[in-house]
Amino acid sequence: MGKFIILFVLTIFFVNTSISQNYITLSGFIKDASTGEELIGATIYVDELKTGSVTNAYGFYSISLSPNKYNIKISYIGYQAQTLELNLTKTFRKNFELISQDNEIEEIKISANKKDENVSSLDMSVNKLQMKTIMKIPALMGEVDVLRTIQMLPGVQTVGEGSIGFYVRGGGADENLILLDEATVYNASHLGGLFSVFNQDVLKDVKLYKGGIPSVYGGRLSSILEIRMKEGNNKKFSAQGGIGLISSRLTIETPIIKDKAAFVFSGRRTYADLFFPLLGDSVIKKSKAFFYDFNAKANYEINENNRIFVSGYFGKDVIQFGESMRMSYGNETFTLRYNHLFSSKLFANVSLIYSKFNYGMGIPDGVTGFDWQSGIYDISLKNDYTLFLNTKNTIKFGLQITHHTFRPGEAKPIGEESIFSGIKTDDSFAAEYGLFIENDQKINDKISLRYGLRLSAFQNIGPYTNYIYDKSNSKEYIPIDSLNYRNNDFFNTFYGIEPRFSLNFQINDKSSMKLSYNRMVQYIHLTTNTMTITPLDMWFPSSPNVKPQLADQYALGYFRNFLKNSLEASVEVYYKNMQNAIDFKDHAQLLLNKYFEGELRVGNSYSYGAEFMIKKQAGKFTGWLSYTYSRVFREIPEINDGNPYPANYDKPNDISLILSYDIIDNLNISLSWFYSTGAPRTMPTGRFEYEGMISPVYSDRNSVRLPDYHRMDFACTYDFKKTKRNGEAKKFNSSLNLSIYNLYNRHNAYSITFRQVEGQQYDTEAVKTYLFKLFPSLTYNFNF
Amino acid sequence: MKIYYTIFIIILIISSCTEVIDLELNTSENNKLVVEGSITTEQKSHTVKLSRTTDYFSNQATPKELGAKLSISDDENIFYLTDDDNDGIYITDENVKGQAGKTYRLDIELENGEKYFAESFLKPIFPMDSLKYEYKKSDFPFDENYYYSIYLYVQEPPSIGDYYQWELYINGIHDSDTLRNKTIVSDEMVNGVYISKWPVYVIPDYKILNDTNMVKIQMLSISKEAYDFELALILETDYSGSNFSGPPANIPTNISNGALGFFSASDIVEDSIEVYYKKNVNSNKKISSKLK
Repeated sequence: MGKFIILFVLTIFFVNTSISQNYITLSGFIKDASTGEELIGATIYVDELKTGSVTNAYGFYSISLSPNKYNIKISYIGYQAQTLELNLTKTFRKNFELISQDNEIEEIKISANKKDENVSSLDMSVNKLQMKTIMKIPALMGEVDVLRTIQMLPGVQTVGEGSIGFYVRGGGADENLILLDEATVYNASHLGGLFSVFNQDVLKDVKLYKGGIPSVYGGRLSSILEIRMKEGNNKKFSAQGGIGLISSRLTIETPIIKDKAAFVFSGRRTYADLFFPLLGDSVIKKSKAFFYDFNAKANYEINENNRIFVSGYFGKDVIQFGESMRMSYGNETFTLRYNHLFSSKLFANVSLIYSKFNYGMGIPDGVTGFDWQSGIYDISLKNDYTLFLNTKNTIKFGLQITHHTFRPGEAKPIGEESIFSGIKTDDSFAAEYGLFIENDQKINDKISLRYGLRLSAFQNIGPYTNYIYDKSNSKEYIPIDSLNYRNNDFFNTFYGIEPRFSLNFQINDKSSMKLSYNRMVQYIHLTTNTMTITPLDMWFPSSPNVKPQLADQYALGYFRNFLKNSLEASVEVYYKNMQNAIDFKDHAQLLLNKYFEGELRVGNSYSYGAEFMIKKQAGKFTGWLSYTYSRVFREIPEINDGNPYPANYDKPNDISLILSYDIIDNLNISLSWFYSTGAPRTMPTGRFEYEGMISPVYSDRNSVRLPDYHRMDFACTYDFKKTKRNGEAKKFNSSLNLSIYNLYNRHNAYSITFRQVEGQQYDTEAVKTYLFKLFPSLTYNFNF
Repeated sequence: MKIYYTIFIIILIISSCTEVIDLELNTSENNKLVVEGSITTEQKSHTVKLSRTTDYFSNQATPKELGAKLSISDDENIFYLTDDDNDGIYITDENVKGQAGKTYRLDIELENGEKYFAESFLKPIFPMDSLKYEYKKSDFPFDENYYYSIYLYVQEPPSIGDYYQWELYINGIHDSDTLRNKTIVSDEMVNGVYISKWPVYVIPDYKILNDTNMVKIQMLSISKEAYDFELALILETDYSGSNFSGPPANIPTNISNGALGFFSASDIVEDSIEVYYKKNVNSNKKISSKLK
């Protein structure tokens, strides 16, 4: 490690000496011409130098050149490329605006004459999703969902179609960092996992890092899902929305000061429960089941060098069962962000972030009246810098500090009649730190490197009671003593050194080899003992009893483009080793249990796999085909007699096929097909009788598989004419989307349970539960 | 936890369906001894049933274990059990009765010489204050049925870690005859509280047919191990395998030597209430008097 740091420092030194030459800088923002939205990952390419730069997360680019006349090309997928000649004599600021492209533009124009990013970029194991692409994919109940689309990517598994929880390269559902405008979203699910909290109308960019994770990110082992909201149209008022089977949504965008400041607001609500009163039952009439989301964001360009953004998300699920039981849960995030340009080469960002997930449930009155609250609350400060040093080096560095508050749960009696005495598990507090530096360096035409280091730390903060367990009986840890820590006592500290490395070896214009290594450390964990994640799962910190989880991932990939870059293909193999993986003892009691740390069982986990993907992004005909072979095993000394067992989401073979075709200008059809090996489950091998019950006897964990999963979906989108009879463009556009989920009506097993046949003394049967039959839905979308 | 997960399951069920399927299961080494036995402070013939595990889909009675020698003992007495009618059910004399505060040990010696034992502490219990009942319509949607709610009034003692099981008898017939019909509870949420109007059993109205019915409630003390066993048995038998349950796991036991099942010792108190056909004669209408 020491050597690594020395090398790093030397490189920076070397790099610094090389800038004394007479270079000038071209920098600025690349935006959408019609809305003023900054484009993330747009390319600026200098023909003469055969080099270029890519806009950062805020749409900013910077490129250093010697004074000369250049042909500059600006491009971004889904937008018309621009080429212009610039005579550069001194450092120059220039913003570009690209025009969003309708489908009819020929695909060749987009990608000709330019090395494709798929091949040339240092990113590997990264999937970027365009909202346009996501919208075309057939959706469950017509609800376009980012997280469901994520599940279709190679290397991403699900545990069942009823859940938006996802599992990346053998990592658990809690090993994904989901960021919405940099704020952590702790539980991205609505309706117990059927839908995600992300309203597609307000999203701008979605990027999933499965490996080669840049050092700016940390805190989770397996993946980073970076989602950014639209900034808002700063040119003119616009609105879009939709009316669907499950929910309706409306987004409005408006300039506050034209070209300077804009505001976007979006809301969504389900309305199935509005029909409850129509159902005859008196209990259902008083029941509720809905969710809603609000997103809002404003940005203000103070001047060329300073911009400020405020964004927030607020969402909630409410379920009420008659007057007897109610439950609600939701996320809140708030981000205040300030971008500052110290110079055309140094870009700085400061963000202040608040993030919260909590749930509450209870029975409002009666003898069993209670109110139960649980949650996690974060306040973070992030400060990061991008130094566009020269055409060969881009350095990023910065720091992040987060204060966590964990409220694992408190149940209080409510109402005079309640018989409950109340129960509380102690709150706990922690601080998490990250300090990072990273350089993207072009060594020569063939080789580029990204090397970085993240130093992380985690501190538990009092007041806290730490229990000490007697672990002599592996089935039952017994608390034998406790230590109390006072208020503001930083009583326990963990450190992590996380090297990150990526290499791109450009074989030729069309193909490259990429290599990456990353170490990740995860300090907070989720008590998820069920097959799918639920809102009741609780986040908890590393502590004297719980070591941080560690992952080392090695990946190797070959990337090749065909047909003038219109077809992108890749093969990646990976191996990932995870230490201190968390599992739970048999029949673990995790909720409202102050000794829940004694329910944890810790071991190792490892995964490996190969991912094949071929993708076409532009033209009338788009889509992708991916195949993944992957395995994931856990080895925990006190579970399954210490023998390795496959994780719940270990599905060796996985295929996704997504096809979309524009038949004519305003009619698109899409088809998708998914296949995966059945997930492994623990099923009974024997039975015994006790008091008339026939009970199961199990042998090895996860040794039997559910039947294979496969499903086909279809969607058809019709855009109502965009022009009036006189040829003028209409202001109001709308479209109708028909989605058919599970086209050939396969009853895919969601779970298999075992039971005694009713009315029979000795007969037992296996029962398959499946969630969806063929499920058609219709959605009407509009914008103006 | 059961009820909270039910909420989610209800949501999913809106569009989900089930079907019975054929499934091949591994069937290996299913021949473990299973013990089902108890001793209580009630004077009666106490029973211990011995059987064997078998394949999950065998669909017949599990094999009985015959010809074993059994005894239940405390620090003073030893009671022998015999199986005179060769049905795998071993019984004591009629005058046997456990004593609160003692530890009971079950010893088993099989015909093949294998030995097993289990121990259970007989924890003392305290009497119930009273029982009341109410005749009312179900709180659940689409359920138009009426029920007799039997309410329990009792002081829970301040000691932490008390576990209870209740038995229900209607007109002398044991209604809670399998574990899934029994009410079991830990004092975790109610420690030291005066429990009032708590619905210990909810009886569907088709079970109350006479003008006057005698409903007897027995309250038993059980150990933590017995509670964990009973809860796990109910969960694994009736609720396991769903995506909202934890990973399936073997039901714990207190029998030695790799056998399954449980031997428990319990103190018993009981109380009875007369329940009238479709009437609320004894129901607790005095709640308003509690208001200040």
